[in-house]
Amino acid sequence: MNRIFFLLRLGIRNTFRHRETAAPLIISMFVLITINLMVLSARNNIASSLKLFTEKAVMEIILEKGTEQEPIAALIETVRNNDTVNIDSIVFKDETQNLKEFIETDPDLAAAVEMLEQNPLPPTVTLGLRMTPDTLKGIDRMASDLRKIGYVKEVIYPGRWFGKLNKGLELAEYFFAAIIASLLLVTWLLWISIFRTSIYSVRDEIEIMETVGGTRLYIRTPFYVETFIYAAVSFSASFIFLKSLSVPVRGLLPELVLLSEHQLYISAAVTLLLAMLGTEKAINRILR
Amino acid sequence: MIRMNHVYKTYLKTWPALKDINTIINDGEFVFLTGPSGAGKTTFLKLIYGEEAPSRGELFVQGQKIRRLTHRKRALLRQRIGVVFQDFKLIQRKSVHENLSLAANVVGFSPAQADRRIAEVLSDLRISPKKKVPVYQLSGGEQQRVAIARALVTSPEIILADEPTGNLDPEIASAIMDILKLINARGTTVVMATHDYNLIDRYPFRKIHIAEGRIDE
Repeated sequence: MNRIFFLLRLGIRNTFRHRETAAPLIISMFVLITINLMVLSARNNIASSLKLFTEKAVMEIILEKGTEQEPIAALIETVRNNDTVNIDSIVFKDETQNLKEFIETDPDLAAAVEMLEQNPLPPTVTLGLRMTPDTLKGIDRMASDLRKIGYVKEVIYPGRWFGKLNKGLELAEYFFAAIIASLLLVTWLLWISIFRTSIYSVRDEIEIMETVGGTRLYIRTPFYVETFIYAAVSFSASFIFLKSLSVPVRGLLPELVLLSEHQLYISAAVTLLLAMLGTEKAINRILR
Repeated sequence: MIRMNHVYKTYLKTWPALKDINTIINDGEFVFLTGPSGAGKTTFLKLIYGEEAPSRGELFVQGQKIRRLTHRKRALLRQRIGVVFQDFKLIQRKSVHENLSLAANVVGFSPAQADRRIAEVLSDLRISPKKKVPVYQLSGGEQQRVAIARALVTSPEIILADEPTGNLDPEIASAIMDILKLINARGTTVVMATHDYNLIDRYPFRKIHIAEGRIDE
């Protein structure tokens, strides 16, 4: 216990003693962590906006004109009972209803339709469905099955377009991952360089600790304490900055998605891990 | 006990610092390690406290085979060995007490135990009044006493002294020798490397002479 307190005290004292190198280290970390958290937030917003968009996707089933009520009810029953696609709503509209809605979109259309001798519009069934990368295959399969039904003239849904969008999203994921990885690498390298300067000033102390029988963990502990303090201060500063920035931004963009609690914990853990690994690497240059 | 069987130490694969060293240093012995500069005296001491590993041969220190020691075991062995360097290797900006408490803490002394032991050692070496003085304000002789005090604070079984009187004038060197003699009289093994033959001749202790990396007794 005495040893632990001694090492903790030594670590805290080192933090003050190394304040000249600590300042650029904390500032650099603050900048890099902030950029990283911003990139992570941007990634969250792309994913969530796509989700919002595709959640409102619909599938339109255009039926042959004159289709009887009975087969339509059977079709609705089949769609409702499928177990691969999440159906939010099913709306059936007959020829008359479709024509009425069509005319209501533009008063000029009413006059044009009157000139026709018959209703050109077919009955339709509109399905509201959740289109996600996971459900897309099921939706494709369902559309293909529906097309095989004799009285189904056409099935329209933005599947191909959504597929392309999804591919784009996958690429964007790689892009964000590459940016985050590069930033983490820069953070690590910067940490090693700056922390090595701090350690260099106490290399005589390290050498003496080794000579008198300090174990590797014993010698490292004060530096780990110091690292923890720097990493915690840098991460907290970034978090507070982003939090304060989010208030006015949210006023402008209420749909904005920020980092989840889970992501914050992971980011904090990664920051700490990188800092510890950087410290370890820096110490290894001095310790044999 | 320190036992060396056909020990070789070679640097950079081609430069032999020690060749075929065979010797035993018993517990409680005082041994002078003599020889000209560059003969291999420092390497001999470094092998004993595990700073270097032998390239060939067997070296046992207090029953432990040096070559196979893990980092942890090497650290624990070093807690049983006190090392005194010619250039003192003290932390200049820290006080005498802080320098000593660094070593006391490594072996797990509580602050009270450390204070007691440090007071005891400083009193033995007659430097108690300098307890709170930063090391850089001390004379060479005083700094060497502090270095010895640091080596003693952990109550080691072996003291290795590498030219402890090398930088000191004869009068102070004599005082340092008296201290080492006293430490040895209390049962601690002392291995002292020196090339000061005037000093060696004044004491009746065993001498291991090293020349060009070989023992020449």
